[in-house]
Amino acid sequence: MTDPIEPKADAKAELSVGDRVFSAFTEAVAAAEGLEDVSKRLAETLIVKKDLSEAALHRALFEADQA
Amino acid sequence: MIQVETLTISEFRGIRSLTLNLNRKNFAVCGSNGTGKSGVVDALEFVMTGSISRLSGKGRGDLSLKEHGPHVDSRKSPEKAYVEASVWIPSLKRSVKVRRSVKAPAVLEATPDSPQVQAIFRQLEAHPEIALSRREIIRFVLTEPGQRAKDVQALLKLDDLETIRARLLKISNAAQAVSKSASATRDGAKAEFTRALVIDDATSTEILKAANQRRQLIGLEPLVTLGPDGSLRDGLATQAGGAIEVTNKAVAKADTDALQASLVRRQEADFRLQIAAAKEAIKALLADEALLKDVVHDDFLKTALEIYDGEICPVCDTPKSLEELSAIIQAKREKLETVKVLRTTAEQAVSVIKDALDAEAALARVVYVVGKKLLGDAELVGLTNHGKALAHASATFAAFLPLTETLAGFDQVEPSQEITDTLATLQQKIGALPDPSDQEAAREYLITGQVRLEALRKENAAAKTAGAKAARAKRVFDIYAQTSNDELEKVYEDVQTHFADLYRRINADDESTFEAKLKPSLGKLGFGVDFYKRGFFPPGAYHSEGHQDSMGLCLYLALMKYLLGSGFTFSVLDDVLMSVDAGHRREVSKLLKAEFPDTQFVLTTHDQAWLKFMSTTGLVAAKDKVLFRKWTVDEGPTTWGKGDVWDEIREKAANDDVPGAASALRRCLEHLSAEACQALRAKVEFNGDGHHDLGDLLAPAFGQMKSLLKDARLAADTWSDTERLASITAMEKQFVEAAAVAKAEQWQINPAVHYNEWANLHRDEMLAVIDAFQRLFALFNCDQCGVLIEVSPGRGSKEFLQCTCGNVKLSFMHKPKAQTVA
Repeated sequence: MTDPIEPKADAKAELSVGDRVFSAFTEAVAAAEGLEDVSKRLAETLIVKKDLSEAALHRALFEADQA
Repeated sequence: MIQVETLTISEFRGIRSLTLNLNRKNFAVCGSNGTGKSGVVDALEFVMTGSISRLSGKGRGDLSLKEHGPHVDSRKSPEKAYVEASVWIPSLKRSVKVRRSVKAPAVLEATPDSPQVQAIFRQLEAHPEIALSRREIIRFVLTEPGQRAKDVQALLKLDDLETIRARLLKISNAAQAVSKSASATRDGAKAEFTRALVIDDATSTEILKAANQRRQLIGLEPLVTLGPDGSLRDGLATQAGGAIEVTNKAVAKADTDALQASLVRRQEADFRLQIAAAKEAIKALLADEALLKDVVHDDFLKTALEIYDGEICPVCDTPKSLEELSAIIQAKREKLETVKVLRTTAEQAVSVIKDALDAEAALARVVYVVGKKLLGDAELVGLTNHGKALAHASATFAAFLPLTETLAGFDQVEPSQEITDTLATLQQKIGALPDPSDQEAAREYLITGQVRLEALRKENAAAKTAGAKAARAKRVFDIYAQTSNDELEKVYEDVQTHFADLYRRINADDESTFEAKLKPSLGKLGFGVDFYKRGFFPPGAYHSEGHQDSMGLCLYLALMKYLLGSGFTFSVLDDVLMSVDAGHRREVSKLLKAEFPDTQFVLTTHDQAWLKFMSTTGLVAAKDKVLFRKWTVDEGPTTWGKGDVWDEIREKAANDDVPGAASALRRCLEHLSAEACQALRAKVEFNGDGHHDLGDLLAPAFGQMKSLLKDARLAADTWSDTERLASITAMEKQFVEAAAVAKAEQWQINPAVHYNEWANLHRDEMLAVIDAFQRLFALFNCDQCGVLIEVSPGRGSKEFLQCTCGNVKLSFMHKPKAQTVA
């Protein structure tokens, strides 16, 4: 019988499930009006730096206001 | 990621010294409860991950790897407690020897070592779920949706998703609170401004109209517009600093009147009704205080379900079935939901009162400035005390718990006589102030108005910024909730499809159309399973424990396959299917073999019948198993294959423990007879529960050996192989004589040799019975390699009776008869 999930194994090797969710999330934020910069900062925080702390999220959301 | 070739355990948990050859094949560890199976599971988990889940996590109290990982007699020498394994790493295409000691569990000694090997073991350390016990099965299947989401996400390494969701929600909630507070401050500033300007609303039209009237009185040009930085006192030369040195009588009167109006409002019927409603809501909660305590014990309940061992309730230590315990906890949680609704209602009702008090506190602060100018220190205390009382009440209502204090707080919100008197004094003193001329009043009006306009602008900007932040945080949280839900739905859709397929294959006889739904929603994971096309229900609702066990296994397998894909090469199933019925165990075995051919399973069981299913379905080869006979603290587990069982039985008899020797002999013969029946393909009377005792097994084993030797002799005869004939005849003779001494053929009809009567034998008689059976069963094994003689092949026409070394190899093939020549 065919394995219903095997084809996804290769895709997972490139991006974990968690990172896939973060990626979809930041893309959706980017598509929202006025949140392009927030999206960039969130992607940098969650996907690149993998910093999931509350302080990092806070900075990603409000950095421009605090500058 | 890896497969295990050999495992060596030393001074670890309940094991002193044990080596198992797993040969990268599925492997079974069988033994009664308390014979040491868990030690093997712990050793595998330890050497791969450096931890033992049994000694860590919730509900494990004071247990620790360092303290309790070594054998109890080696607690002070943790370096002696170690596990070694030779593992095959498919991705590197080579074997590596790895070792961990309890002294330094985080250090993986690998030979040969390489960064790739260390990386693979770091991955394993991140996946301690390679070992699945029945406790975890319960966790996946029966837990409530919020906890299930956490557990499943932890397994899929998605805990970060929940962490981010919780943090974004926290940031959003905090931003909402800041925004609400900023709005209230802005509203207060606006009220102060409109009071000072004696206008109804702070619109540009009204402000300009009122300000220009005063400007005209003192000969200033009217303002045409009022931009963001515009000043009401533009052109006013004096008192450029902004603050006025004398009290603005009109504004002071307006502020004190406003405070008095607030005090009066709090004594009117509407406010009293609001207080009554809040008190009722609090009393409704207090009426069920026991449940409020349960809210506090929520985590405790979750832990109880997690550490439930399938038999005894961990809370009350009484036997409870899974359904019973689950129902109790479910009922408690349903009650908690009711309490949560009541609490929200009460918090909202209290919030109305708190907001009114906070607004009055803001007014009191403004009046205090006036009071400080006009009242003496003793009189000012009235205002100070009022401010303190308001702040205390507000803090009590914000805390909400304990409820008794919140309830008592309502009795203290009535304005005191002291503030009423102080305010009356202050109003008198304000009234006694000399009335300014129209021009002076106009100038004071513009100065005070400008001060309050600037305050309003500042608070307005702050509220606007806070509002924007709150809106952004909420927007981002909503987007996260939506996108993570959508993505997780895709993940769970794949998992649920595979899960349902696996479950259908196990239960094809009666649930061939089974479906399941895994539905994530805001941090929860709903799990509905089809019950005979009557709808979707929680797994514990109607399905039996056996079905729930197989659901848990299928969900685990589907999740692991999703998580690791082709890297799912190793798994330990620790007694996970004890309540699955015999028919479905066979299907589980077949499923594991067929669906996961690249996964090496190590399966533990205390049930010999379950072991047989593993063997007959080909999941575990006959040689790939270890049978634990007993365990002692000094020696650890003893295996059946160790060969000292006869000495042990004989020793019992010699020490006059004939009943003990009889019992041990019976267990030993049951085991050996079962092995012989399996190896010789003997016919055993069918038993529905899969269990067979000595009465079912001894005669078939003995009879089958006799029959096979006879068949081999007849076959040899057709070849006129005199040497082989003589050898087989000698074996037959030896076998019949040994059986006669053991009276194996008579035990069913002669009570004197029936195993139930052994306990009544004299010591020497018992020793004779032991010797006889040892000699008899030695003949089932090759005298050179010591391995059980077996029929090959395992199915179909019998071809040979043989051992593994070739010393015994008797053919059943008859010489073809010569064909008649026409």
